[in-house]
Amino acid sequence: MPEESAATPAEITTAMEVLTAAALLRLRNYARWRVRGLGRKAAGRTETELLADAMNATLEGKRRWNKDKVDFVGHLVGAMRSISSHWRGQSKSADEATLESDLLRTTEDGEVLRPFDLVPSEEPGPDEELEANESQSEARTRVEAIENAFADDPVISLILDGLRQGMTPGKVRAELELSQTEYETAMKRLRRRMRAAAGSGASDA
Amino acid sequence: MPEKPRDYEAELRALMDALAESVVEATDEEIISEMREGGEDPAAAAEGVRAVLRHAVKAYEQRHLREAQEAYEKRVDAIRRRTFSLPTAPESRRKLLAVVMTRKPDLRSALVTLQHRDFKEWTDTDIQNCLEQLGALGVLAEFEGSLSDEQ
Repeated sequence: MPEESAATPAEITTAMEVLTAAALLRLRNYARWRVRGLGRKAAGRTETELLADAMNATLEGKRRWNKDKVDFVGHLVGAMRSISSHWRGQSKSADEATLESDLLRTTEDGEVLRPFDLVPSEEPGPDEELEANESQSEARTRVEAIENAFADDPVISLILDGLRQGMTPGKVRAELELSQTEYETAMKRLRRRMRAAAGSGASDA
Repeated sequence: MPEKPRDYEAELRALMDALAESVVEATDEEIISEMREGGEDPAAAAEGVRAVLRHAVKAYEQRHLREAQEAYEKRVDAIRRRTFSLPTAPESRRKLLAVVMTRKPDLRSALVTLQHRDFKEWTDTDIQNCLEQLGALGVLAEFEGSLSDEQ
């Protein structure tokens, strides 16, 4: 990003002060859904912390806001998307892959040790396995509650099915031949009912 | 081939992420009306969000002050942890203080002003107290070699 396009702390502060109520609530709601998607991986972190982290990173220049390309809300949404992905441990990308030949070691006896000989087993221990099972079990309860709650809504059921298969929202919409408006209307229905259910004490739906 | 077991965590994550992205596409009116339907006051909730962002700005603006405060506290802590073993003989302590005052003339004027009398008239207790204070301030660190009774 050209240096002149990166917003200064003063510009960031001004942009924050002029955010409308809807823009602020959009940021909070975005953070809320992202953190809810983390499940146990949120490790007690909240939507407020996600939003604050995005703002801190912007002010400190760790995530620079290119004010010529994206508005402030769009920038903070992008920062929160990235930070929450990092929280859930998706930062281990293929970019970090290391050549096996770089990791070969030779003992004093001339024996070549491969990387897998040098590192402890990656197999999860009993505690990790228990944690993973509990986490899956919790997620299963939540997913099944949502599926049951929307069993009588064919459009949402199909959207859930597409997401379950790993499709992106855009792909789901295209596969179901839904217009943008139809898709957004369905998602709005989903948000409202899940929000209402969460307000009444249910976990998600 | 057995069916691959469902990864419920991934499914839940995909759904919540889709909901988050749908918020980005929602209109301002939808955002506000959903808040009202949920029984929240949009204006108050929005100001709560702004307060979080303002707090981040304030923390950023005060970062130098915070860093200086932390550095100061570390220095004070290091001085407090330092232990001094002053010479046991009163005459050795008097010699040590004389060395300090010779090498640090600024301290000499300050100390003499504090004590309101000539250095030669200081009692052993005055000297002991003075050295202990200088030790706590970290001044004696560079006189480590002069701290023994042999000096």
